[in-house]
Amino acid sequence: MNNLELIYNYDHVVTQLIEDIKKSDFKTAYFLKLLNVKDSFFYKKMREKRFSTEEVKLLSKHLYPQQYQEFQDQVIAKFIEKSKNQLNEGLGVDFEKVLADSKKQYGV
Amino acid sequence: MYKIIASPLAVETYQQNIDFLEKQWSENEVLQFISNVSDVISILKVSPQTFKKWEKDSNIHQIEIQKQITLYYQIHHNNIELLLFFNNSSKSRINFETESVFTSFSASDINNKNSLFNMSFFYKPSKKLFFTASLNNIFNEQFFSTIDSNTNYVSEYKFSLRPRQFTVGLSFSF
Repeated sequence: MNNLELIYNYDHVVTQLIEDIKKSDFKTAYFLKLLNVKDSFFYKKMREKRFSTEEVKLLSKHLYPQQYQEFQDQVIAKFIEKSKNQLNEGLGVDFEKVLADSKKQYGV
Repeated sequence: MYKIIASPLAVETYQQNIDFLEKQWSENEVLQFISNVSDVISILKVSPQTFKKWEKDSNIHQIEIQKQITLYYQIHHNNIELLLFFNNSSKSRINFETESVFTSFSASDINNKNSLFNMSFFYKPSKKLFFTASLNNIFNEQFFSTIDSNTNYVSEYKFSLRPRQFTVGLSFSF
């Protein structure tokens, strides 16, 4: 996929997201609090599709909670698999030593 | 008594969370995090089944160490194997981000060029105080079209520029 295709796809995703905000059961006040913006600015953002990438991520987390959970579970599963492989290779370390070191460093 | 073993990834994510809390929040949060981990380890050493199983894999247990940070572990013989300290938070005390997009489209005698640049900054010195500043579309959106047709003797030039926008915000809550 070339860069332009990515940009146009992203534009399509944001357009869809805005449509989903309009159709959503959430009140507008919910999104205003979520993004910490005033209503006039929020509507301007909606009209002009001016959400930042962080805002898009945050909105999608709340608009598509099930998909977000699935995505997060996939990420966690990959990490856990990597961790298990490391342990199978005998790379495990005594965590109490690690903990003791950080306690000493921060004076806990 | 169970022995606590951690994979290199678990140690790495443990350290990453300390770094994250120290840089983005404060040392108090780091101390709280280390203290919470220590408490959880003390429980795991004597009673590893205490914490709930992960719904995707019943061999894995999970416990929320701190808001947004979850520890995943498994029990293997007499060892507790720490697998991951997962942090799903992107919140930070200081954040600066920029975003720029330039697109160009040419077909026949039509040229469209768009350049967008957004910049935002926020600083959260405490949980109650929040400063934010953003500059959107510094270079604005340029929409430039030229259409020439010799057959119909049409020549059209368009150029539009969006107004600049600068936002400063201060929020304080009790």
